[in-house]
Amino acid sequence: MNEFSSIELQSEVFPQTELRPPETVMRLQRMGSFFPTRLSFLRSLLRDLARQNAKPKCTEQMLDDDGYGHCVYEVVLDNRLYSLIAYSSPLEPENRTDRVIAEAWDACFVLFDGKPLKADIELLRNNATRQESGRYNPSVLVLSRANKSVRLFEHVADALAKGQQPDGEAVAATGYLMRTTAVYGNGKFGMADRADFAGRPSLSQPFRLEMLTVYMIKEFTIDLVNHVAQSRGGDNAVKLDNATCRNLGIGNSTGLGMAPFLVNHPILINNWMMVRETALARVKAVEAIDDDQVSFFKSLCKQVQKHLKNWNVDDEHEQRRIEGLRADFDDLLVHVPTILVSKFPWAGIVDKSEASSIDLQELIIALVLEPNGDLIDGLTDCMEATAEAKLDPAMSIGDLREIIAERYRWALSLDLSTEYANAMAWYVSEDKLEPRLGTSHSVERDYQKMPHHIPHDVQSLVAALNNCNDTESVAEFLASTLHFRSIVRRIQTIAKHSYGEVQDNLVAGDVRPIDLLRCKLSFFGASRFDPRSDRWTRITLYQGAPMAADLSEENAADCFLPSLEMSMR
Amino acid sequence: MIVSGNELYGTALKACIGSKLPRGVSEDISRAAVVIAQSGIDPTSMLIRTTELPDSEQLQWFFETPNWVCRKGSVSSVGPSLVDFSQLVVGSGYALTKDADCPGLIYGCALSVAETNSLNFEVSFGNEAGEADCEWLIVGSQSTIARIPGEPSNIALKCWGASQGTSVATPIGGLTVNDESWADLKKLAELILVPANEANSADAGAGTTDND
Repeated sequence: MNEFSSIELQSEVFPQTELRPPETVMRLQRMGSFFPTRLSFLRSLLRDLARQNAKPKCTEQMLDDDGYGHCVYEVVLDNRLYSLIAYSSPLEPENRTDRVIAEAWDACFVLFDGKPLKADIELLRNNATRQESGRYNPSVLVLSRANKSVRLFEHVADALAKGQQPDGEAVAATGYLMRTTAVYGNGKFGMADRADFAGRPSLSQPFRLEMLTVYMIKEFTIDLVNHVAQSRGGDNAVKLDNATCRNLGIGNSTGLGMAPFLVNHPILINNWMMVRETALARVKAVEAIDDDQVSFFKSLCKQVQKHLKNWNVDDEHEQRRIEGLRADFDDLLVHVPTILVSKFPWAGIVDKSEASSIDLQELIIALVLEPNGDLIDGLTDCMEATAEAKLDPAMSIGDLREIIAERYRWALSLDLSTEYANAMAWYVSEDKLEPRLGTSHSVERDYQKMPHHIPHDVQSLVAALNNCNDTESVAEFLASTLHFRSIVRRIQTIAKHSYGEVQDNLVAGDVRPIDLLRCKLSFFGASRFDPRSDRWTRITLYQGAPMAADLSEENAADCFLPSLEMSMR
Repeated sequence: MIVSGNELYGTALKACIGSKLPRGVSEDISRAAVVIAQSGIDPTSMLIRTTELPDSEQLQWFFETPNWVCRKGSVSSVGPSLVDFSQLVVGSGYALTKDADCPGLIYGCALSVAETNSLNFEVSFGNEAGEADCEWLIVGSQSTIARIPGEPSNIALKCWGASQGTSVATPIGGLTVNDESWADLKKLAELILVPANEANSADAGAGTTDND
């Protein structure tokens, strides 16, 4: 059974309202307002770890007094052992960059399939610490690296060495001891293909191993700072308390490399969106809720208020958005008590938000999903993609025209004749293959541009089809127009996967790649979006998540939009 | 050299695009390359030959589908032959080629299309008279393949019925490719890269140090 038929069958069991249409959902501004939900990948991993009582633990710690060396962490999922090997190295400040062009990092990581031998650890040390320049075999499942927040790491280590806990405000301001700058999987540099392990029961969901890796990195960063503090303070040193451990997530610094993924995987993206929209439709169909749910939702609202209060960024534009969201959320809260005791309360709250900003609308969607795990958590099994984009050569030109008219009305309505509509080009630099976005004039050859000019291709195709009869086949048309083969296949794919296309011009002068980044990161479960520019952001993962030793089915779900106050209660 | 399936697909795709093959054709050829590699044959030299094909007659192609299109003629590159392979519904046919590297790639493309269309599929390589003087290669639901002996110039094709899927599993331990051919393929893939300079360094949208 594929992921689609699975959703369709479930819809016969669970009542639901109509889904929001793709032309509403798949707009850049809305995608750039997404929040993490309980459907996000890290949340579903935590639930699965708790269900299996799978607790990552350190089995080897070989660090010197300064915290340099290596550690191994192990976890068993569905009776298979996975090991994280963490390498910690000195790094000069001038070499600390989060960009792909970096050549060295504070820490490098390998998720290994099974238990590594000493020889594996040494061989991988020589490769993993060089990241993209190293070479790997299919025993390596994920490769990652991270840089310290030096200021916070040093503050925490010094405080602990003196027998004190770190300053809560300093912890809240940064939110992590290390931030990853890449998490590679799926066959990169010779590693295992996703197809090699996707059939394992716990690993079918997208990015499952990447999320597991980051969760284990969180454990490592806490152990590392405790180790350094112990070395500095000796008997005076104390360990980081549980509440602060929980509140420290793992940062992530992300640039343009994440954006093309959404364009290049239309079926997968469709499935993510379908699941999210189906979950919303199910929740909106709930007719009434009991007192416990009312009470729980009100406590969630207070938690969100605290989260928004603590969420501050340097970027002026984004800070204004956050401040606007705080005000909009406060306005909505006035109506919540009344709506919660009305018929169809979740639909009522969602409907109320629609008169406000898109930021508030998307926050409310994440919020109303939160108390409804029993209704929606099973949908996460439908988020993978097993189908591939197919060309249907037997389709008639008439049918192709109908699909374009229905699914690509947005593209046909754009005026693409202006310089502004063709201002930008996505490309890959020869500088360590770093993805970049520049003016179209800066990329000399068309074939060097990433194929993100979808509406342009659609309009060109429509013009070419004007010379064809409706009864002609796609195969006959393509025999003389090979350059349309890719866009025809894409259009035929979108016909069956309507949430798979971003419905905006991604090469327009005002495109904001940060919107694509935020969309994808929200599915990962990221919070505290902290844009450094319109194409670069920092975020935090697993902030508020229980440490492995404390993880249980009762608390696995308890990390929705965390705040320091919430965690330290 | 051992590479992953995703690595092979990505490198082949970039190499084809860098060689100015249309994107859609590049996508199909790259997918075919993975199918070929999964069958135990190194596709890298075929890929390189494909990117070097001159714009002249390389392939004589004939295929019959009783319920749809009959096509006969010459095509000048792998690209149009892919279109014709897209028409593999049910039927049989043959292809003649003067390029020793082409049969394997054509086979891979055909297999890829047949797999996509969930067809059982049978291919043979033979001599110019169309005689099957080589081993018959049975693929599809049985997922078996024999190595191509000699330099066959004829491919016989037959498709029938819907299969329950013809996926060839990725061998554990990755895919084996020739080191030199892989290096050549990587060079072709680098053609899509934009030279770095001070001006476009800012296009990444971030500074060059991150100390906080």
